[in-house]
Amino acid sequence: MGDVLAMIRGMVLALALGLAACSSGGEGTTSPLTEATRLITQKIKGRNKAPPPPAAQLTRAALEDAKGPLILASIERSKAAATLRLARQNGGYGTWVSLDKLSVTLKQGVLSASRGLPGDLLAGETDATLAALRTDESSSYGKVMRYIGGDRQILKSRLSCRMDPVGAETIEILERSHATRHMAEVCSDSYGGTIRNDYWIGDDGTLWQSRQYLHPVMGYITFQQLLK
Amino acid sequence: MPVSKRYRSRQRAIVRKGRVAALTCCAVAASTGSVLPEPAGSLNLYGVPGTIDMPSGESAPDAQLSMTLSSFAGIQRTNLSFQLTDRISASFRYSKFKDLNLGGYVDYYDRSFDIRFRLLDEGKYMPAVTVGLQDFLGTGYSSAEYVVATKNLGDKVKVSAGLGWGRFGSHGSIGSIGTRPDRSAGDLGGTLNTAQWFRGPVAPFAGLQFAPTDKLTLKFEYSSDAYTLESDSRDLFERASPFNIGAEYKLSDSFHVGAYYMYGSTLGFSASLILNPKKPALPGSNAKAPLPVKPRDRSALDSWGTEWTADPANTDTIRRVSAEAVANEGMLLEHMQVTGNTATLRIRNTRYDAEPMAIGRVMRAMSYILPPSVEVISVVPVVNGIPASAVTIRRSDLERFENLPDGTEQILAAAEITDAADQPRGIEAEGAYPRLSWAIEPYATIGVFDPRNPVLGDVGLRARGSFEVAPGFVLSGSVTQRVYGNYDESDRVSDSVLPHVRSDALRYAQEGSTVLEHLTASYYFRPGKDLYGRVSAGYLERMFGGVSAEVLWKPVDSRLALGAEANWVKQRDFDGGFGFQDYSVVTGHVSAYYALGNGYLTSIQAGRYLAGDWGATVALDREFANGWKVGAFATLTDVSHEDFGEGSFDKGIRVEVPLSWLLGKPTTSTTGMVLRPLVRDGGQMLEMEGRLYDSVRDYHSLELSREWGMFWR
Repeated sequence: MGDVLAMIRGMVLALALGLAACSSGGEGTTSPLTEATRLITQKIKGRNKAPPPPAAQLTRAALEDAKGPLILASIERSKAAATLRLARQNGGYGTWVSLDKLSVTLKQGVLSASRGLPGDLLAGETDATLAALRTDESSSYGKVMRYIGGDRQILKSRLSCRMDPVGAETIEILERSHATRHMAEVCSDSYGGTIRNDYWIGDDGTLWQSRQYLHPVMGYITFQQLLK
Repeated sequence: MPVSKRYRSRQRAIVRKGRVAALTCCAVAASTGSVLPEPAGSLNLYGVPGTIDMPSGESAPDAQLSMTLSSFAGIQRTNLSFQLTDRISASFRYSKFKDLNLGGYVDYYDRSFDIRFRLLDEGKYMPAVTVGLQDFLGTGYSSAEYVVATKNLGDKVKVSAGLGWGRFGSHGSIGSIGTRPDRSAGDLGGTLNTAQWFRGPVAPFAGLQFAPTDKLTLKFEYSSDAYTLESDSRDLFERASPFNIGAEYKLSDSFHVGAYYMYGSTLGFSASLILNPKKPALPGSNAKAPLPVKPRDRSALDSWGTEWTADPANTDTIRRVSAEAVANEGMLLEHMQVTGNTATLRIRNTRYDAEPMAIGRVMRAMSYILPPSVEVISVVPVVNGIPASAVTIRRSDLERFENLPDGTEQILAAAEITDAADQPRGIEAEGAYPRLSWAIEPYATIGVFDPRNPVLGDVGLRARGSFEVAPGFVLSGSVTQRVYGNYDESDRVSDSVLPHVRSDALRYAQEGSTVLEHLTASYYFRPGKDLYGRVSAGYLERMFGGVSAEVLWKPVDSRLALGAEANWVKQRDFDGGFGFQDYSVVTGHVSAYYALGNGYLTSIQAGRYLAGDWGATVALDREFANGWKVGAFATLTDVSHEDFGEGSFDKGIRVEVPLSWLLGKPTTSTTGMVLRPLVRDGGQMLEMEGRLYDSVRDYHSLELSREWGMFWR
C-alpha cells in the first residue's frame, strides 16, 4: 500500500505542479493521470461558474416568443430547475430536452425515463398509472421501474401501487390558473420502501403538474406544463 | 452477503434488489444489489472484518475493496482486502515492526497474504462463522489460523467468539492439537505452510461491538495473541493485559478512523478507506443525454424507395454527415458502406467504456441521417484497426423498443452480434487514415524494491504518440523525462542467480532519466473468422526489445479463447536509450482463457519465460461490468525455490480501476497496479501493450450483454 499512497501522492504532486497535459485530442489515447487532471480541473472550474438564472424567475411574458410545448422540471434534492423542450415523439412517448442536454421521457406526462442525470431512471412502466389517472376512483396495480446499478446491471424495482383521488384543486403555473383534480399514487416495494407521486389533471385530461419519484439518488422531480 | 437485521432495518430503499436473471449468452444481466450503499461493517487492525486485533465471523459486502492503515507499539500494517465472492475474501498486507531486530534488519518488513471463507450465514439464532488463514503464504511471521463466530443482537450489539492457532493461539491456550512445526531456518517464504495449519496450542478469543449511533462504534476485545517476540524478547511494548478497548468513527461511508488502548500499555490507531466497485464514487454517468431515436414517418411508406442510391453523391453526403454525427458523440467513423437497405459503420470508440452505450449512440444518430429505405444498421467497433465484432440491429426495432419498459431486453434479443472478419470495409471516411495522435503529460511511478526504503518513485513528463499509417498498421512511441525522483536513495543490488531479467528493475529506474519507454511498429490483422493476429517489432518494453508475434482464436459468442505468442527479445540497457545488453532469449506462451460467467475470468498460460525457465501462470480475475478488475496470479516454473530466492515463486495481485467510476464521466481510461510481494527473475513475462485478448473481447457477446443496460444511455 505504500505503493498506493505513493501513487496518490504522485498524482497530487503532479496536480499541484500544475503540469498541464496537452494532446492531439483523441480521448481514448490520454493517460489516466492526464484524464484525471483534466476532469478534476473541469469540476473545480465548474463549481466556480456563476449559476444560470433560476428557472423560478421565469415570467409568462418571457414565454411569449417561445413556441411549442414547454415544461418546467425541478429536482427537489438538488434544487435545480430547467425548462424542457419537446425534442422528439416516438410511440406515444415524448422526449424533452434541456439546454444543457439532459432529457426526460414522458408518456402523457407520466415519467418513463431520464438521461444525463447523476442518477437516471432507465425505463419505467406508465400504462397502469395512466389508466388509473383517467378515472376519479381509487385503484390498485403493480408496476416495474428499471434502474442501472453502480455495477451497470439493471435493477428492477417491483412496486405495488394504489391511486387515490385527493380532491379538486386550482393550481397556478406561471401566472395562469388551472382547475384540476389532484390524484395521489402511493407505491411500495417488498423491502419496505415507499414513494408517493402526485398528479394534477385538468378537465381535458392535460397533466398540468406532477411530482414524481425519479431515482434513489435524485429523489423527486416536479413537472409543470408551461406551454401546451 | 446475508443482510443482518441491523443492516436491514436501515435499508428502507425503494430499490433494493433486482431480479436475478440466468446469465446466458444473450440475456441482459440483472443483479441483486442495492442502489443505496450497504453499511461496510467494521475492519480490524489486520484490515479484515473483526473487532480490534482479532477477526470476526461476518464477511464484508460482496466486492468490497478496503485499504486499512493501522499502527500500535511500532507495528504498522498496511492492508489491502478484497471480498472476492460473497463468501471468500483475500488480503495482502505490508507490515513494519520497528526495532524488531529480526533476520539482520533493525526494522523488520514483512509481506503476508490471508484468505477467509465464511462457512455459515447468520440466521435468527445461528451466528455467521468464518474460517481464516492469516499469513499463509509469506514468511509466516504473522501466521495464524482461526474459526470465529459472530452474531448481531439487535441493531446495536455484535458479539464474536473464536478459537485461534499460531499467533492467535499464543495466549491462554486451552489445549493443543499436535505440535506446530517451526518454519525451517532460511525459509524463503512463499510456500504453503500446510503442516502448520490448525496445529499446536489453541486459544479462545472474543469481542464485543456496540454502536450507540450510526457513526460511532465502541469495541471491547479479549485477545489471544501473546506477542511473545515483540513484548518478551524485543520489548516493543509491554503486554500487560489481554484486553483491548477502542472507538471507531465513520467520517463517511468510505472513510473510517479508530483509536484504541491496546494490551494495557499502548495506544493504537487505524484508518480505513472502503470502496466497492459496485458503488461508483459518483453515481450514474454525467454524459449528456443521447439523441432520441427519430422514427420514420410510416404514413409516407410509399416514398421509402431506394432511388437515391442511383446518385453516388448521396452516399458521399451520408458518409460525410455520419462522420460528423459520430464525432459529435466523441467517436470516430473510419469506414462506411451504404446500400439501399443497409448501412455498416466502422467505429473507433475512444470515449465510452460502456461499449453498448457507444453502439447505441451511433445507432440513434443514424436514425437522423439514413434514408428511410435503410432498414439494417451494423456497427463494427474497430480496435487497433481491426474489426472486433459486428452488432446489427433493424432500424424498426430501434424505433419500436426505444421507450418500452423492457426495451433494453428487447433490443438485445433483436440484436445480432457476429464476427466481422469477412465484412467489406466500405469507403474510408475522410481523414480516418493516416492518423496521428500524440500527448504530452505528467507521469508518476512508484517502486517497491527495497524493504528498508519501501517508497521510492519519480515524477516527470511523458511525450507519446502513435501514427496509424493504414488500418492495423501502427507506429507507436513514448519517451519520459524525469523531473524529480528518489530511486537513488536505495543501493540495493540484485542477488539473483538467474539472468537478471527483472530483478535489476531498480537500476533501470535509477539510471533512466530520459527514457525511451517503447518504440514499436505493429501490424494487427484478421487471419480469418474468429482469428486475430499481431506482429510487433522494436523496443517493446522498458527492459526488452525484439520481435513479437501473437495469434488469438476467440469466436464472438465463446467463453473460451485460445492464444499463442512467440517472441525473440534482447535485454535493453539500463539507461533507457537505444542500446542493448548481451542477454537474449526466445520466450512465448500458449494461453487458454475461460470466462466462468458473472465476471469471473480464468486463464492459464504455459511456455517459456524471460529467464529461459519453463512453466505456467494461472490467474483468476473478477471483472465488473463497470470496468473494475481485481485479480490474482501465480507462476510456477522449473526454477527451484532456492534459485528463485525470497518468495519462492512469482505471484501477485492486480487491480484496475476505470476512471469513469471515479469521475462519473464517460472515458475509456483506466488506472491500475500490480502488487507483487517481490519482483524476482523466475516466471517473468514480456510486458507489452496491445495484446489481443483484452483488446477485442470487450465487443464480444458475453461482455456486451453484461453492460447492455447502457445501450439506451
